[in-house]
Amino acid sequence: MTDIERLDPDRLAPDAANPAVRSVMREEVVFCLPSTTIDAVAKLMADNDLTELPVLIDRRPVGYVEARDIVERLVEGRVVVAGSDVVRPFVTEVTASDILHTPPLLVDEKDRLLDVLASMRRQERQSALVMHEDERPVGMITAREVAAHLAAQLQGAPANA
Amino acid sequence: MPDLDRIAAPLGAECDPDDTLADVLDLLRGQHPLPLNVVHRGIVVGTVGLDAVIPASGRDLGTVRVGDVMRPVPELDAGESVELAARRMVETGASAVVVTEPEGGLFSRSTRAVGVVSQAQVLAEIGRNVVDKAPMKMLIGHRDLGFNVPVSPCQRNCPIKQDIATYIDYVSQGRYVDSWMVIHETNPFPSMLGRLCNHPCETDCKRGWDPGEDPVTIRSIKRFSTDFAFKQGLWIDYKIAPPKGKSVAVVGAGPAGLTAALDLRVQGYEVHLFERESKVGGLLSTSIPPFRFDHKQLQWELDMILNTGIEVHTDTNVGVDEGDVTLDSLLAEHDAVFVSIGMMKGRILPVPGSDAPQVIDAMRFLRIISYDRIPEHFEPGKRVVCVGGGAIATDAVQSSIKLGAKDVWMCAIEPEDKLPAFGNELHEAREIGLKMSTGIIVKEIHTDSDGNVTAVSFAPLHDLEFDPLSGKVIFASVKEIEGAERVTIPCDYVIFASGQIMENPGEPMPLTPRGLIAADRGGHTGVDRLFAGGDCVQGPSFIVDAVGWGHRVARSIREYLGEDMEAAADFRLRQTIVERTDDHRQSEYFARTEPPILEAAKRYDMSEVEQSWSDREAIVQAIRCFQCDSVHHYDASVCVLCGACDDVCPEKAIDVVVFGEDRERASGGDTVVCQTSGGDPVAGGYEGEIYINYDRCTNCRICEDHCPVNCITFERVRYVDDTMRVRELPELKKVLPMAAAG
Repeated sequence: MTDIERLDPDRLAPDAANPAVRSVMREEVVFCLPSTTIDAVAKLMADNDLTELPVLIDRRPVGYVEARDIVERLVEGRVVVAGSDVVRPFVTEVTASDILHTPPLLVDEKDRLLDVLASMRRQERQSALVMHEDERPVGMITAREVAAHLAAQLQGAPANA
Repeated sequence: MPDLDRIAAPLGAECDPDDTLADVLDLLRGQHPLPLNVVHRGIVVGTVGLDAVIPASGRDLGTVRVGDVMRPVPELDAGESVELAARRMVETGASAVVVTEPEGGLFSRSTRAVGVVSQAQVLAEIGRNVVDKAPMKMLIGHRDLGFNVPVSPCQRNCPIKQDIATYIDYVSQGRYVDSWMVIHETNPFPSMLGRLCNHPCETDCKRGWDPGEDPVTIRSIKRFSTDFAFKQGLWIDYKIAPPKGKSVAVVGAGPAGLTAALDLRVQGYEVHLFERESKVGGLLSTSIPPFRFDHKQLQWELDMILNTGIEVHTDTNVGVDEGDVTLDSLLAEHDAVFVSIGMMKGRILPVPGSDAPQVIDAMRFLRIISYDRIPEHFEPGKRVVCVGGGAIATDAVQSSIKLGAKDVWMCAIEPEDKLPAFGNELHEAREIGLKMSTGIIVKEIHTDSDGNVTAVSFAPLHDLEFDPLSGKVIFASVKEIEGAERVTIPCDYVIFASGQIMENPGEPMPLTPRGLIAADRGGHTGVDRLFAGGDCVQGPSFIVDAVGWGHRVARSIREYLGEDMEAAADFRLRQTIVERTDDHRQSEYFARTEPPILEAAKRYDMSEVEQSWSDREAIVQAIRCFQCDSVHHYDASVCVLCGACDDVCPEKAIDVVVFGEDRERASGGDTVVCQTSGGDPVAGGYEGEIYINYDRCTNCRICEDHCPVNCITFERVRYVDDTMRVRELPELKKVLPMAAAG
């Protein structure tokens, strides 16, 4: 056991209603680069049930992009849907950096879920990026994970996101 | 344009506005990402999705009415476009539209809801345009993702297994810092190796396999990334593991010793570094003149290593002379000792006159210059003869010219086209006035009555034979031409660059008959706690080989000291990164170029000769890389084994094998990338596999473009153990004027 694990408050005082986000989070980080085109961002969001996607440079979070911004670009005609009658191949010039929002919402993996939810509500965010002490993102908290946890709480069973 | 009826999902589950979020939470989760329809008196009045959960999470979900958190839901005819649906969503703040169809007769016309199109479906429709479908993911731990990850030929051929394709790809994407970090994972001296490496990677670059094609300029791309990081004032802090309570002495602060010291220090060992010079770096600091590289960058890299807490003992010789630290005492004080003393003493051939005061060996000559001093008896305007034709000789003659020597000769036994020196360095030296005489062997150094050098005479040789593997001279073939007239070159100063000697550090170090240290490839000497590696074991070699020795011996020492190598990495963050590889389809339009060098007229001082690339040139050169580490990821649930990829592959690198069918298998590949089946095998179904020959694949992605079911993705999988944190160091710009200028 490492020193970090020894100091983990979850080990000292487990709290099922308010666990560390590490035990609730999605154990993967889906991300894009500032240079990723927004059609690729749309695919990443659709494939992974996300409405917000973190933008990383050098594995360091610099911001996030939102689904509604991509839908707005579709309305503006700056990106198209597959099968549209625009002459293909249509290569959108809009990249994640064009619709970037800052700052990213970063939480420590040892932070308590209720504190994280309070931050998400305050900042009107649908996701938070969970950070390791090495300053690298290691997971995500989205509505899916929160709902799984709350459903488990309602049923009095442990969460299984 | 796609009509909504083509993408609409069935209406799905419903709820009432008076339901609470707690009531519908399971339904929401089950139907995600589609929202739940909120129906009142048979009419869809809104939708509610999981996005309502987080804003409501501060309250008891049992008290939150769906009707209070639902979103509006516009209606659209099934024949309308997705774009119009998107417009309605934006205008009304909805996350979905209800798709309707008309019903009823002419006078009782109405609509009925037949489906729903959510924001997630719109995104999926946009995403279907994307050619590059690779997921961008980071996962904790080193994950087996169930497919083969090819190792690129350049990486296979690199003594330190640099992740070359990745760092080159990052440069092509403009991710220079990323690139620099990837380089630093295995290479603590990228500024040096970006300039001075013998680049065995380029020898085996797949781009160069094609006739008429040249390999990617890998070495110079590495230099570009490092120059960028240096100019930005970046700095790497290494994460140090908890103390192991064990101490290791490293003798010799050259590239091998420093690499091992860093590896061991990062793992939590106490490391004591012993160096007889007053500065660390070994031959990098003392034998390579400043016009080859920027010494400020070397110091920057050395400082990053030493900043980890390595205890440095400079001006401390380990040997048998008075005042030296003995190996025995180090073995008594430390748990392990690593000797990497290199071959730092130059050899002067014992020909008549070689004891004259104006005769010096090249290692000593270069060492004196490295301390910003002029070697004794060397005077500007005088004539110099250098005996030897290797890299050290080239550095010595160029240094002589830059220090003001008038008439400088390089004399070697090899013919001119077989000289061991790098061709470009010889070319540079000739441009500033070097004269050469080859195929001759030194016989005598002539002196005047005062004992001062006046000339060197050489005997011509018969044609030499060379070892086909190493390319080195077979010494048995060195024979003088009998009766031939000797070549005499008048001179005032003689430099011998005719080999190096290892200085024996004393008992109990085991030696070979050649006078090198006897050790295996892992550095084990057979003496308890004593390890050795680098040039002092292998003989003179390249810097990258020395770095490779450092990594290997550090690992041997850790194993010897009883470390569980798997568990040892636990203190670090281990991640598997899956990401797209850049699209390099246009790479064939660009030819290989080398970095520019200073024009000859400006090369008469110690200014660095090779210049850095511009961003554009570096990116263009990086784009030439085939990205041989890209994984063909076939989606087995989609692939129908149609064979289109096999048919269109210009390199014949793919074989689609359908069991029971007679399809040609010509790629020679044995890497299975897809196993799939479809339908009932008895009634016309299929079952088969797809093989790739990664030695042939050039990552051109034509297969991806032609796949009718869009099941091929190119991705990269990287495994990272995080020991490094990068930060900006503003003070670096103050300390180092060049960084500020950049």
